[in-house]
Order: sequence, then structure tokens, then C-alpha cells
Amino acid sequence: MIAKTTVQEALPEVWAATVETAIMVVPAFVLTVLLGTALGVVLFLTSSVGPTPRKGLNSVLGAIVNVGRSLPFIILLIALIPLTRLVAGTAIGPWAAIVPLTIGSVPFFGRVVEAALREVERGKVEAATAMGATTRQVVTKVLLPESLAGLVAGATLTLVMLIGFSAMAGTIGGGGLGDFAIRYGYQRFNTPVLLVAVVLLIVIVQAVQSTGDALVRGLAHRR
Amino acid sequence: MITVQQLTKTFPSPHGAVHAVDDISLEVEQGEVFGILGPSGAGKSTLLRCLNLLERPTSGRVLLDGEDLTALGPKALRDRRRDMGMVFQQFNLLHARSVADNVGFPLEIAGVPRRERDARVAELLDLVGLTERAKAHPGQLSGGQRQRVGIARALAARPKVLLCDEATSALDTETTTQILDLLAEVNRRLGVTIALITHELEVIRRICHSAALLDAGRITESGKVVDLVIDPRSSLGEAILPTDGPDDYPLTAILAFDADRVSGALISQITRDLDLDVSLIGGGLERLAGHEVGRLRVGISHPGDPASAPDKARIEDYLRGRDIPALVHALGDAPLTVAATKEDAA
Ligand SMILES: Nc1ncnc2c1ncn2[C@@H]1O[C@H](COP(=O)(O)OP(=O)(O)O)[C@@H](O)[C@H]1O
Ligand SMILES: [Mg+2]
Repeated sequence: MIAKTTVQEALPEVWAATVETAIMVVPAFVLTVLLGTALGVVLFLTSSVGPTPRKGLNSVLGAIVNVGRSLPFIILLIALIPLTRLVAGTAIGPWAAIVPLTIGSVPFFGRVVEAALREVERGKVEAATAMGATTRQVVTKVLLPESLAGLVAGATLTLVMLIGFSAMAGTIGGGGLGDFAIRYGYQRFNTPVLLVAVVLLIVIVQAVQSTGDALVRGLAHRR
Repeated sequence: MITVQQLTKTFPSPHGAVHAVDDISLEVEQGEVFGILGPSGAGKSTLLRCLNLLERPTSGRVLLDGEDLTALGPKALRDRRRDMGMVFQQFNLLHARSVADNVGFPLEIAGVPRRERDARVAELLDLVGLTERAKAHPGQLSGGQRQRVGIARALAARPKVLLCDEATSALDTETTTQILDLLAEVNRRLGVTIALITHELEVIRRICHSAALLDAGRITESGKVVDLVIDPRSSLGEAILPTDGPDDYPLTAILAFDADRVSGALISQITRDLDLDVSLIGGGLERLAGHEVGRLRVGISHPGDPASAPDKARIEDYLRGRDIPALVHALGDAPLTVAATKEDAA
């Protein structure tokens, strides 16, 4: 019988798994914020309460977003394997996982952005329009800055969600802390090592949430 | 300066179309303060928002210095909008920016370089008395201070016109007075034409040269404030300078006049010339738009015989002869109710 791996022995592997998680999550998060913001802005601008309503475009985009959001991530992950291969050249490994992670979280963040922009008083947009602002200026100088606290809160939520998603991506070959926890805890029943991975995930999520909350508080303070 | 021609704005609604603005024509002259008065829902905001095309009229035209704004493309319209500053009831300041950056906002949009912007912002903060609060955020200011920022911002791009949507309706009485004085100063010192809407008569009394009464999307009365007040039949004039009181004398008259032309001894003169008792019931003199005007309600009776009615035609002739606009009312005539405008009908 082979001796169980001790926590001590597993530490280098824990570190490698943490790096893999970061490789999946950080780029996916950056892409999600960029693409999701663009999506949310278009969703808001073209909605019936937005400054430039476009019913057709808004319905089509909305439908795509809803499809994206209604699929459980694990299904999306498998369904996207061909696309992932196309984009990343492989469907395996943390770099490849960035593709489904991004696609899985953009619709969510897009809706978060749309909701945050809706909270900006209409009068502020009107004031800018009355001063001769273009739509682009309304977005960059009014809508986004005025909703920044909401956007940061939403981004925090999205980052935590992405960390959760990354655990699932790990199981189909992405690696990372989730994959690590499943291998040790579920396949080898090594509870102590499993606990290390679990505690580490909790600490990371807590750190993300606290940082986000602090940023939101700082932004709200200026008002 | 601003010419509105047969302007109509119709909103669809579940209960049929709402004619928020219904065939309105008006002219705001260069350099004047034009007040549009009306109860809540009369269409005031819609009308004002049509002036800079925040609201696209359903039909009709809006001309700024002879140029038809409704015919302009998006770029040209944005440029014209810079000639029209706008001040809002809810201020609509940007909370993510400092006071100074709010004031500089219109210039930033227009691509004015930072240095030039800063100089102009300093000038404007000085004008509205907020130099010390330049770095503060709008959330740290009182309502009156916020509106000062709103006015400074509206003036930043050196507009020809200021459009004010109930600029003082969110403020207490004292602050309202200060803001109205500031607007009057802006009009006088900078020569900025002001079109404002309000449901408060005090705003009309304090700063307007011209006024229009808006009801259910239509203008029921309009003109120079002075002309309205010296028209005894004008309900807007009556609202501006009310002559409250009963009309149960044998004869009751409303006398309206430019006090610069009419002797202060008017009532005693009438008493002497007609050998009648003339008692003051209501009204008074007020300084409006730079004129001393009067609107008086007087009861007229025979001395020693208060029950019998004096000759109405004779009094009317006399007043006409003296060029004093008057509305004479005998007991039994339709009630003397010229005051159709109730203050704060909102
Ligand atoms: N965007 C809109 N959609 C539908 N109806 C509107 C809209 N804006 C104003 N109205 C209607 O037009 C009428 C006039 O409104 P408004 O101009 O705001 O009046 P006021 O400023 O005098 O209170 C009201 O009946 C109001 O409900
Ligand atoms: Mg209004």
C-alpha cells in the first residue's frame, strides 16, 4: 500500500495549482470586463429607456445573452470544446480554459453593467446631451464614471463567479485548485490535502470580495 | 432670439395620445427673461425641452436667431446646443466629479484645452460665489450651492440663452430668492437671454420681463409682464398682482395702471371729480420689470347713500378719459373673477 501524500509533500503542487487558477481567471476576468462593459453599454443604449433606443438590435442581443446565461457552465464548457480548439489550438490546459470562462461570464457581466447604467439618473444624461455631448461622450464621461461603484461591485461578483467556474473548467483539463481538490479529496480521499485547497480557495475569494468592497466604499465616499 | 412656430408634441399613451404641447407659437426676445407659468402637467417641461430639441417636436419649428433647429443634422445641432445652457430643477450634476470639473464639463465636451478651461471655470466660480468649494463634490453642497454650480456650468460655454426648468422649485424660499437674484444678474450683466418655466408666481414677479400662461399644452395668455398687469381683464396680470377682495359694493372696479404715469392721489382725485366715495378693497403697487405698476380693487358708492348704485357708464367714461384701464362691475353682473390662475396649482 502506498503511503498517503502528506500536506507538506503536496505544497509544491498546491502552488502550481494556484498559478494555474490565476492563469485561467485573471485573463478571463480582464476580457470579461472589457467585452462585458461593451455589451452592457450597447444593451443599455439600445434599450427602450436608453438614449438611443433600437428595438431590433436590443432584442437580438438580449436573446443571445439570455441563452448564454441560461446554460449551466459545465454544459457550456463541453459545448464550447470545438470553439476552444479553434481559438486556443487545444481544448486542454489553463490557457485554453480562458475561452469558455470568458464566454460564460460576459453575458452575466453585461447584464450587471446594463443594470448599473440604468441607475444613473436620466437627468444627468440629458444635461450632457443639452450641452452638446455625443453619445460616446455620454458613455465615457457620464454613464461609466457615474456608475463606477456599481460596476466595481459587479466586477467583484463576476470575479468570484469566475473562480468558481475555474474549478469546473479544471475538471475537464484546465487544472487549477478545483481540479487539485477533486483529485486529492474525491479520487484519493486525502482529506487533509483537500482541506488545504479548500481553505486556500476561501481565502482567495474573501480577499477578492474585501478588496472589491473597499473599492466600492472608497468610490461611494466621494459623493 | 427664439421663435417657436406652431409647435406640437404628442406622446402616445395607453389612453390615447397626450397633447403635451398643442400648437404653441411664441417669441422670446433678445436680452429678456421670459417666464412660462403653468400648473403641473401643463406641458411646461416638454415645451422647454423642445427648445433645444431634447424632445423632438411632433410638428412645428424652433428657430434660434432665425436658424431652424429642427432642420439641423446631429453635428450642427450639437454645436447649436452649446449656445443654449440648461439649468434643471434636480440640478443633474455629475457626482463623480468635483465642482470645478462639473463647471468645466461643457468646455471639456467641446474640446477646449485644460488651461483655457481652468481660467473660465475660475471666472464662473467667482461669479456664483463658490470659489472656495471648487474641489468639493456636489454631494457635499447645499441645494442652493448645487444650483449655483448648475448655473455656472450652464454658462461655461458662453451661451446666448439659458433654459431653466423649475430652477428654484427644489429650494427653500430664501435660497430661491438668492438664485433668482443670480439669474437676474446673469441676464443683466452678461446679457444672456433666459427662458424659464415655473409654477411659482414669485419667479415671474421677481425676474421676468415677459410671461406666458400655459394650460393643457396651450398658451392662454402671454405678453410683457407690465402690459399684463395694467390690463384689468388679464387673469395672468391678476395672478401676478392680485386685487383680492369682495365685489359686493354697488360698484366694484379694478383699476390697472402704470404708476409712473398716474398720480399717487388717484383715488382722492376720482372721489373729488365724481363726487363719489371710493374705498380701497385690495391690490397695490409693485415694481415689476423695472416699472412701477398698480392694480387696485376699489368699491364705489354714493356718499351718504351706500346702497344705491352710482352710474356705471359715467365712471367708465371718466376713467377712459383719464386713460386708466379699468374693469367696472355692478352688483348682479357676472362675478368679478379674473383670477383664473391659482398659485401652486401643482
Ligand atoms: N416622455 C413622455 N411620455 C409620455 N408622456 C409624457 C412624457 N413627457 C411628458 N408627458 C406628458 O405630457 C404632459 C406634460 O408634461 P410636462 O411637460 O412634464 O408638464 P409640466 O412640466 O408642466 O409639469 C403630461 O401629461 C405628461 O404626463
Ligand atoms: Mg415639469
